[in-house]
Amino acid sequence: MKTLLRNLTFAGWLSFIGIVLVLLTAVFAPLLAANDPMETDPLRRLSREEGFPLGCDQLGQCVYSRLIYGARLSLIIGFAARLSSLLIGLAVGLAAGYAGGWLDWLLMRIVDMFLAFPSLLLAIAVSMVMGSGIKTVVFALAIVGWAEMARIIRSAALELRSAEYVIAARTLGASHLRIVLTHILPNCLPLITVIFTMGMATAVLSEASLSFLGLGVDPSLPTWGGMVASAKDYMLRRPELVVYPGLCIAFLVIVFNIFGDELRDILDPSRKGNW
Amino acid sequence: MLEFTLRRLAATIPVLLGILLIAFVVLYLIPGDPAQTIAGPRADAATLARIADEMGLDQPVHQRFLSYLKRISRGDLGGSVVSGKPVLESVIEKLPYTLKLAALAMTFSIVLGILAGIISAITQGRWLDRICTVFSVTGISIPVFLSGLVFLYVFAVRLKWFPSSGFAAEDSLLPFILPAFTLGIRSAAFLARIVRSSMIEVLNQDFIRTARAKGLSPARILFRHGLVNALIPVITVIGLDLSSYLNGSVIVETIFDLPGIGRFAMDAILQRDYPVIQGIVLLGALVFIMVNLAVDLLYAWINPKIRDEMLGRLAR
Amino acid sequence: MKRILFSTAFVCVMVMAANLLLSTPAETNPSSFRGVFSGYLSSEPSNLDPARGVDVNEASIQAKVFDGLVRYDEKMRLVGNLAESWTVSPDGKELVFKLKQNVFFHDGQALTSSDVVFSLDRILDPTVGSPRTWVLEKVEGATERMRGESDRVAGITAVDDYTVSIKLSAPFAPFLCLLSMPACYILPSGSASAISDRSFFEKPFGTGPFKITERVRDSHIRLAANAAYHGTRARLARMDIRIIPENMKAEMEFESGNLDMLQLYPANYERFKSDPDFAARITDVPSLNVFYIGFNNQTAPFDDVRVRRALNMLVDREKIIKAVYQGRAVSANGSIPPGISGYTEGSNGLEYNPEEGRRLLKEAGYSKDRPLTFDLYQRSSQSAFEITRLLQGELKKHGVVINLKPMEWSALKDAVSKGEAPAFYMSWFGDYPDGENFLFPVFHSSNWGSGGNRARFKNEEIDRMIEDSVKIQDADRRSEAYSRINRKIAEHAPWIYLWHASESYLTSKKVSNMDFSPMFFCDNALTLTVKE
Repeated sequence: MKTLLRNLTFAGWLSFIGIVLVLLTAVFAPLLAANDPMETDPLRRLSREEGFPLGCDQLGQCVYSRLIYGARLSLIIGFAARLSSLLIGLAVGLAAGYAGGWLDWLLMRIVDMFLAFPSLLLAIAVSMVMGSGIKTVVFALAIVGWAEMARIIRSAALELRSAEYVIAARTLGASHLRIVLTHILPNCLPLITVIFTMGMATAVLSEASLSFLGLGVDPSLPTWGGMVASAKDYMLRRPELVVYPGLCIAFLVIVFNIFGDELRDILDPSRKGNW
Repeated sequence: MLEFTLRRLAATIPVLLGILLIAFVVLYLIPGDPAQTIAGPRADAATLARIADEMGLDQPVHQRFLSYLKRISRGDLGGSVVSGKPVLESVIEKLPYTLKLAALAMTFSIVLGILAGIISAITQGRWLDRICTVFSVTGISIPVFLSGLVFLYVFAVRLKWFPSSGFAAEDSLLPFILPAFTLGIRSAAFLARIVRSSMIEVLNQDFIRTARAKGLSPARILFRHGLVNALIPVITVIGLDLSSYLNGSVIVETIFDLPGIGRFAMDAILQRDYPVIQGIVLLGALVFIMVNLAVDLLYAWINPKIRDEMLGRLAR
Repeated sequence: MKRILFSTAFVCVMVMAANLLLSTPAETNPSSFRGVFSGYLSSEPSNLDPARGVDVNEASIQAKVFDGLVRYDEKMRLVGNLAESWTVSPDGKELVFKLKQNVFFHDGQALTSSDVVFSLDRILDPTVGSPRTWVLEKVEGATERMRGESDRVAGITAVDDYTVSIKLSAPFAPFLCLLSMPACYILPSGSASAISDRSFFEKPFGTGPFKITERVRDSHIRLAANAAYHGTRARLARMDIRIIPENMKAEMEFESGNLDMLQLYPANYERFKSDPDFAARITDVPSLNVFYIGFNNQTAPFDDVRVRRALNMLVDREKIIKAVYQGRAVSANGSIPPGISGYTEGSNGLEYNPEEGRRLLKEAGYSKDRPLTFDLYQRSSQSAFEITRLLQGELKKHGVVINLKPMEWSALKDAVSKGEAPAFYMSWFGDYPDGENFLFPVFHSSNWGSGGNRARFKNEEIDRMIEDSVKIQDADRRSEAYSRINRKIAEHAPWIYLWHASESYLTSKKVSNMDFSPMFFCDNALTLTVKE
């Protein structure tokens, strides 16, 4: 980890700070927000009163506070989805890469299957079965993201499998499970960090897209994608209601992308842009 | 090559079956009576009974799956709950719009992406490279719906350079330009980065240095030796990108009002038109698999080394 | 001499012949009007079958393609359409219609009384499954027809090729109004087989002032003026109606000049009103409608009248009207909108009164520790959210917790019809300007579900009052009766009465004489003119 941080470029540092900023905003949201982000008031509609730094939206809600709390939801949903993808992807990837043979073949065909589904449609199909809400969104994003992870982890496991210390451990009689957990997995950690980070960007974008299409979480909850969706009717009159949350989404996605890039470059410079 | 092709084809079949299986199973996972899901909420009792009969709900599962497979292979993807029209027919009707959109988007992305990538690679480290990098990262990060809305507003409504919708201009390409640009920018950004790193790798190789030492002009080196090799990964990326076009087209067709497959899928989802959703998902997956197959075959044909590696992978 | 005569005669004959050949008959000169109107609908009118269509968008297309026996003109007067004249028997139980002659369907077939009988019979035909059977329920033989006991409606008969007689089982004064509804539009009996397998409705045709020349689902419908129309011809060559579900998209299209009309919502009204260029072309139409939160009156917690009354008193209608509609709506104190027979002025005892509302809730057993909580079903459009989010916020201040459940329009209609929604945000748009339309379909116990009584309200006394009121022939006394019923229903508070909203439309510079009667959706665009 320390080596990672030491080797970051200027851009890398900037993006890292950006991520930390968003993280802090999410954590300290109650302190940073000016008002209750879900409190509506017909009389405050589209107003620019005192105490509302960025004005109010068409329901009288404080735009600034919703942006702040939006950071929370975007990060939570992205993180939860990514974590779920990770758990599934790890299990499948490690099993396939380490075991090889027919299990590898079978699992990889399943991975191919999931990769073949257009991700948005898959997410939508999930929402048809599960209804709408946070759980559905997280589940849908998890389902869409695990296959990519599994594939990458499998390649890594495949390589590591023939490493000397693994063969040594095998000869000494260590069980497969032990080898996987104590030798293979830890060596995958840097890789995992990278794909996790890069996947956050996609997850945030996907959640925003789902909310925009009306398939995301409860629209009264402040999510950036939801804010763009509900303000688009007012775009010609108050474009800032659309632009502010849009820029927030873009910012979060950019910093995750750049940081993920940097991590990947540090980890394995020869692989630049090739996976 | 033949062995490779056959093996690769063989690998496709279980994937196809798997997708069909998933689509089949999802129908039974959806809350409510599966016959009702297919027939639609407004079906009367007689239609409901007929559909339940067709689906053979009283038969054992494997038999149902087999008859489902038979139906699909005949091209019978069911009828829309809303219009009653056969799904396949509607899809074929709307396909040209999405195809035009995707083709144009791909053109934009290839031209812009490769250009930007090459410029970046040649001017590596200098300010032009930095600008291109910034643009490509931004291009990947801005949500399609936001850029779509902004482009629509700025270029179609305010500047009036383009028509703001796909209506009334079926034969011209004009209404497709703005949405294709919106879609294409993302892949262009992605492509630019890949072309850049690929080119840099190639440019640093020995044979390039030899050519330079021999005194060949940079342009000649670029085109003769560097470009062709650097472009190989581009083919893979284009294949992968297709998936993102399918997703992007849902949003872009909705914003720019093009009656293509993406919009069709969106409307079907909102109206709970399950047969249409299933049809589009299946066809989308099929297209994706076919394209990837073609890409892999093309790759292997161009570069025998890769073919052997892939063959090895498939054999395991 | 003979030669001159002969040549003159020849020339004359030639000139006359030329005139005859070149002059087009009065009714077929489509190039005389060249204007094209570009309009739009906010959702695909998926069902163009008049007997089975239920929403405003569908009615809008049906009104241009079909005709009924009677219709409402721009001044909201009931006039004959396909019926040239009619008589009502003194006991009010028989209506005899004389049809216009020389009326043709778009395929050239002549209209006769068999078409009328066919179309009206369809509504009661159980295999058609029309949700509008209540329109003809009062006709003799209707019940037997609906139960499948007979294969035609006894009370509707063709006296001769151009005369139709309709016998009612009991006098029913508003019956003529019902005949103006889209459900009663006349279909060509010659296409009966295509009609019964529904294929006819992909591109239906009738006797109306417009024909559908092109239809692409979810994209557009092209209507060409019917040059052979039996009435005054439309003053347009064509109407291009697009399907644009997104308000913002429609707004952009209008600003780009691709649409000739735009429906304004609270989101964009002020923007256009404050621009002098547009302001003069905005028309505010006090529509025949009522917006409400319906309850499922049969299930908890809304089977308790105290809860229903309390919720009515906890909503500050004026505040929301002022903020969102800026005065372009009127608080509803009953279901009947102003200007219609039966409209009741004055208080109904359910005005905004938070103390009383809270007291009633407490009496019904709700408190801070056990707040009243329920799901509110609604359409997933942004304009619906604007209202429901505000209501949610306002009611929260009084200790009521509302969970919003957005869904697509047809899914919403189904959920509500099946009684799955404990509460729902909806509106009722009048089919004809008679108070009965805001009472019978929505509150009579025989109309539970898609018939119109979505609140599953049942009260035998009110059922009887409604049934009695429609027998009164004198218009003023009937209006008083409606008014009493309106008030009585309010006592039971089956809904949260919200408001009657005006609809606002903006037309482009090219458009003139667009008819904006309160029943605008049923307009058949006969007066509409577009500069070419």
